[in-house]
Amino acid sequence: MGGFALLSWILFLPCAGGLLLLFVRDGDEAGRRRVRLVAFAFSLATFALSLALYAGFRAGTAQMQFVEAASWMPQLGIAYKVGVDGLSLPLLLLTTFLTPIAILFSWEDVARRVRLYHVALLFLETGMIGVFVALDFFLFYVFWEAMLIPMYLIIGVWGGPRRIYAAVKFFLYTMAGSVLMLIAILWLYFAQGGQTFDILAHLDRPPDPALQGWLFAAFALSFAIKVPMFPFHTWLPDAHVEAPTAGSVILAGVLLKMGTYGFMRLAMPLFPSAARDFAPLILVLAVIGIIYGALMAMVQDDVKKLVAYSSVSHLGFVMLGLFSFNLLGASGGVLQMVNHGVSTGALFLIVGMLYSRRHTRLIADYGGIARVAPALSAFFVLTTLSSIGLPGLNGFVGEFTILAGAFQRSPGFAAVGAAGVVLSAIYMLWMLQRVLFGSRISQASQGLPDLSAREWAVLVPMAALMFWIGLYPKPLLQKIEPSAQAWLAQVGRRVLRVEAPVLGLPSGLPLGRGPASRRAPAAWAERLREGGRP
Amino acid sequence: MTIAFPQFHWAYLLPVILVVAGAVFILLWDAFFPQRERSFLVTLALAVLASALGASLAAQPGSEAASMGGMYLYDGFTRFVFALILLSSFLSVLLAAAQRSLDEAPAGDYLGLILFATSGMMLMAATRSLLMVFVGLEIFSLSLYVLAGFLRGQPEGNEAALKYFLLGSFASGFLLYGMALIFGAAGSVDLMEIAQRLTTHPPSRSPAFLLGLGFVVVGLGFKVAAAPFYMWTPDVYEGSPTAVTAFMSVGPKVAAFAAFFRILLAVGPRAGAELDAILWVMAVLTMTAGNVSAIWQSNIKRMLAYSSIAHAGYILVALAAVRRGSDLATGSFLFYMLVYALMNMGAFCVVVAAGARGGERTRIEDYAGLGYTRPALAAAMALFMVSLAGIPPTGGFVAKFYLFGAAVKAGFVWLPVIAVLNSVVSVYYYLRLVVLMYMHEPGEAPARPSLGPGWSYALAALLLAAVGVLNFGIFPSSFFELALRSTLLLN
Repeated sequence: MGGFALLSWILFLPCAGGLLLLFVRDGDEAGRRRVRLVAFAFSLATFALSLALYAGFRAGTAQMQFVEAASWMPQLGIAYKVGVDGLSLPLLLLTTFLTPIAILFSWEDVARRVRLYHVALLFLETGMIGVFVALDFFLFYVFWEAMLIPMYLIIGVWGGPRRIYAAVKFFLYTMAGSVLMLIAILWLYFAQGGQTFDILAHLDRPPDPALQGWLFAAFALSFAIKVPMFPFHTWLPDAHVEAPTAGSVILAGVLLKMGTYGFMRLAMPLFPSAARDFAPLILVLAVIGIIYGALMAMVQDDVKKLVAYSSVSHLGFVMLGLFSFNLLGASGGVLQMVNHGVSTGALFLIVGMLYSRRHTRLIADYGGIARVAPALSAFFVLTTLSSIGLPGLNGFVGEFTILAGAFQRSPGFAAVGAAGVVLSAIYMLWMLQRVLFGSRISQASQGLPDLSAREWAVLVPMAALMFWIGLYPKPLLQKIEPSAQAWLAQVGRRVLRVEAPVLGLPSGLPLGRGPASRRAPAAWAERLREGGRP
Repeated sequence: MTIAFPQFHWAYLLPVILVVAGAVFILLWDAFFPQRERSFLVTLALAVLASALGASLAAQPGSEAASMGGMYLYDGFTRFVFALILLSSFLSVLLAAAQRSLDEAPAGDYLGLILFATSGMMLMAATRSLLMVFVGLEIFSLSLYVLAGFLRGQPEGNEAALKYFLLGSFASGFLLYGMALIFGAAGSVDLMEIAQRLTTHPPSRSPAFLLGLGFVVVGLGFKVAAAPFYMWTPDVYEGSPTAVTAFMSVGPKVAAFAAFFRILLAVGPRAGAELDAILWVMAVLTMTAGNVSAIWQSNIKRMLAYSSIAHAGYILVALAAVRRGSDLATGSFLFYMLVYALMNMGAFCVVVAAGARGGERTRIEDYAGLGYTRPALAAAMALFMVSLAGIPPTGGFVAKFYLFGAAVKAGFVWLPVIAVLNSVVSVYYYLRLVVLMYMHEPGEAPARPSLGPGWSYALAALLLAAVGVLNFGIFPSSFFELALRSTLLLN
């Protein structure tokens, strides 16, 4: 790696840009332009650096790469430690890819308080990257929470009419979940001897199974709210609908992935036996989320709300994949995280473009857009097809792999999940038909301008990514797969009783004594290994 | 009969001597040369506090020779607490100099009173003798009673002073009676001797001792504004001049908690498990009452009053952990107090600075749109609110992390869980201010009279607090190390 701390540069470059922006005046139009240019330049530079990271990332190993460590609070064994592996790399790229797009989109969309907006966006980027690369519990938690503030401002200052309600709800929901995780982290730390907050060290040494139930529950609650899983999803439609378009893109594209990433990086491998005990419950919630989200999306008359509920449904697929405990499900899950970020992000962008033209989000107000704005409509169709998983586009690869994985575990869940795919085709295509086609074209939609050059610049990279992942996902999958395999070994392993002092804890949750824990762990691992490789 | 005089160690006493001498000098100077510029006295007071801080940092706590017969005790704990108290007095003097409504008040009087109160707090924190605890407490309480009603023309100030005085004396009575009972049961006012006595005569057989301990808890609970003895807090905080409120929200708490710590460490382990339950319930009640009541406030000083009650509740968690012998507890308590002093005084500093153009902004609605009319001030306020709520990357988060870590280490399960859930509740009202500052449009275009002469003082205090809060959030290690090493000298 040499002397160049690439990962730290990626992590803190946006933050530095945000700090720099504090000294750029935005009083007049030239100043606002300057603010946008600086923000865009910094986010683009970050993306360029992350491409260099991608190029330098060695495929074929599950090791953490680009690891950097420095002492931070040695008294408690807290360190600044970052690194990427195949699980975090795609999400890191997604983050650095979406941020310049969001800034570019906001060029004309955000006209008020321009400086504060871009400062928040850049700080947010650092926070999101931090969550994906942190290898220390304390560091992870710092980024996890710190990222709430800029997002809260973005929703609350530049959002729609009910923005304050949505922003506060978003903040309180997420915070309520994550503080319990904080206690669980402390608990884990002291139960394991109080030596280190290093995530990798804890992954190597899962705690006593009696402890795992409670700790898993605390972590899972925090992540489930973020995903969001049914029934913790109620903040999502509010936040999505009220957030400005770029906020929705980031929210759907990256923030929700933090929840699934948390399950994958922390909750499941740290507490493997508890994860297996909880798996039936989580799988049930996941498929409920898939179906419920789809049904809710079907009855919305607001496009943005429809897309928001579709997120609940799509993220249910990711959870279904992760908790299938096999390689197909896991790598499908990672891929689906990226896919959802791309296609739902693009959907929000297009909805934002429609909104900026017509200032309404009601489906009924549209109709016949395809005739006045063909390019916009073409992108809309493409994105919709990607979202519902048409072969050849990105969505298909992820969903198919997940369903194959789920089928290996339990055909029942796979069948319900497949029903979700059908439902998603119904609500998305129906929406498309009502917005783009139809003979009636309302007075206000006459002479609607088609895509501007800036909007082309926003949508073309998104579309390119959809095709790339859909047609040639191999390079990406090659980098994901070793890590997914190693992950599988971690969640599938049997847990020895550890001799660390166990604090005076209440006995495990009733769930902790479920049938799975009685099953011989070795047989479990065996079965996983068989099922893991098709 | 010969009386054995304890040996005096001037280096250890110097901080207190400096503060007292400075207070007397300022009072006299103002009496003889009342026409002099106020800035001279302010500078003098700041210099006195800074040199006292320097003296206390220079005095290396070491052998038990520093104990001076138990009346005055200079250990690592004392040193850290001195630094805390002097820091909060320093900030209070800056605030008092910046506050417009104090412009016409006689500066020598309130500066002298602040210094006297400081000396009382220092004495209270640096002793092993119950008598000295009481003397210190009375010195700072009497000064604060006067300071609370310093703006004689304001009826709220009079109400605050009277209320504080009446209830405070009542609590002092409890404390003194409790100490007397302990003295009767244990035969000494020295905590070390009391502890020794308890080892040979278990307190379970001595109802007088337990009653006395209970009364002491009541008396100290009043001073730190713990439930259910916090009722005076919002009224007094609201009515007092803002600079004094800021001082009251930090200084007395540091001193009273320090004394609480010493008492608990000495007699706690032998006082039985009932004390555990009492501290547990007190902590939970205090933080919950503070946080829930703060939600409904429309006056920012009242809101901050309830918030400071809630923080007292969090600190009681550390006390409970210390009772259980968690070695992390003392360090995390000191670190928490340090961060709390900065963020809480910082918030009051914004209140003072927002009124720097005349007309105090005490209603929460007054802050609507502040993010656009005065961006730097609003950013500072947002920083302090975020820190008070315990959200990274601020000192408030790190402090809470250490504190709850100490509680978890002590084996508490529900206490830290309740505490973190409480901090979720607190997020609601802290963020309400952020909502108002950034998500509402400013009201009518404010008239912009010139800034008061004290503006630079407010700026200095604000910078000190903001830099501290951020620094402790990002690089807390060195100060935490210091706090961890600031241990108590028990015998």
